[in-house]
Amino acid sequence: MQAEGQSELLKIYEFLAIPFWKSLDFYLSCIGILVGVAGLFFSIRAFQEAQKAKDEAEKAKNAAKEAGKTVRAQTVAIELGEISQKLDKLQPNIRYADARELLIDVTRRIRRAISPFSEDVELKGTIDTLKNALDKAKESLEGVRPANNEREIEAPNAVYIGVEADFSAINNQVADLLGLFEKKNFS
Amino acid sequence: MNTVIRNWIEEVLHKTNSRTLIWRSINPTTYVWEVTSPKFGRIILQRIERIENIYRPQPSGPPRQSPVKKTNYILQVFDNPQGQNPVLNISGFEDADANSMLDTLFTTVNNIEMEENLKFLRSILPS
Repeated sequence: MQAEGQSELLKIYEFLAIPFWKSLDFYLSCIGILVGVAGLFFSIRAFQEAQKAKDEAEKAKNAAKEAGKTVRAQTVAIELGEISQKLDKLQPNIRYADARELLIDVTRRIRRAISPFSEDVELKGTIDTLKNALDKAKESLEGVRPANNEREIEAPNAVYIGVEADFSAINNQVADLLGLFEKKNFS
Repeated sequence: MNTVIRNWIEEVLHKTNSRTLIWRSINPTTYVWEVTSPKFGRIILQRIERIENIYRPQPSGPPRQSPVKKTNYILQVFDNPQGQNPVLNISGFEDADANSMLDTLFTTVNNIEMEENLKFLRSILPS
C-alpha cells in the first residue's frame, strides 16, 4: 500500500518535473497567443479600412452635393438672366394691367429661383435687398392703379413714371445676384 | 426754374384754389386738368415716391447707408389728346424749387378732392 502510494507520488513528481516548454500545452498556448495577436491585428486593420471607406463615402457624398448645387446655381443664373431681359423691356406707355402682370410674373419667378439660397451667407444680403425691391415695386404699382380704366389713357406715361425706378432697382439687384452666382460657379 | 414757368405755376395754384381749374384723379398719385378751348391742353401732375440710400456719418467707423423716402413731383403739359411727348416737362427731381411748388399744388388739389368727396358723402345722407 505504501509502495503504491510512493509510486503514484513519484509519477506525479516526474510529471511536474517536466519543463513546461517541453509539454504539448506550451505549444498549444503559443499557437493560441499567435492566433489571438493575429486576430487583433486584423481587427485593427479592418477597423481602419472601414473608417477609410466611410471617409471616402462622405467625400463622395459631399462632392455629389456640391455638383448638385452647381447645376442648380447655373439653372438659377439662366432664369435670372431671362428675368433681367424682361425687365429691360418696360415701355413708357405701359398700361397698368400689363405692368401688374409683369410684376407678378417677375416676382413669382425670382422668389422661386432664390428661395433655396436664402440662407447662403454669400447671397443672403443681396437676396434680402432684392425682396425689399420687389415689395417696394408693388407699393409703387398700387400708387398708379387707375381709378377708372377709361381715364388711364389720359395719362399714358403715368404708370411708367410711377414704377420705372423700382423696376430698375429690381433689375440692378438681379444683375448683382447673377454676378454672385457666376462667381460661385467659377470658384 | 424759369420765372415765366414759376409765375405760370403760381397762377395755376391760384386758380385751383379758387376752383376755376378742375382737376381729375387718374390714380392715387396722378391728377389731370384738361382744357379743350380755345386750344387743347392737358396738364398732368404726378407724385413719385422713391427710396434713396443716403450715406450718413457715424460716430465711429465709415459712413453707413440708410434708406430715406423722397417725394418728388412731375408736371407735364400735352398739346393734343394723343400726345406721347409733352410740350413742357417740369421735374422736381432736377429742381428743388419747382418740387416745392408742385408739392403745394398737389396738396391743394388733393385737399380739394377730399372736400368734394366729403361734400358728396354728406349730400347722400338722409336728412
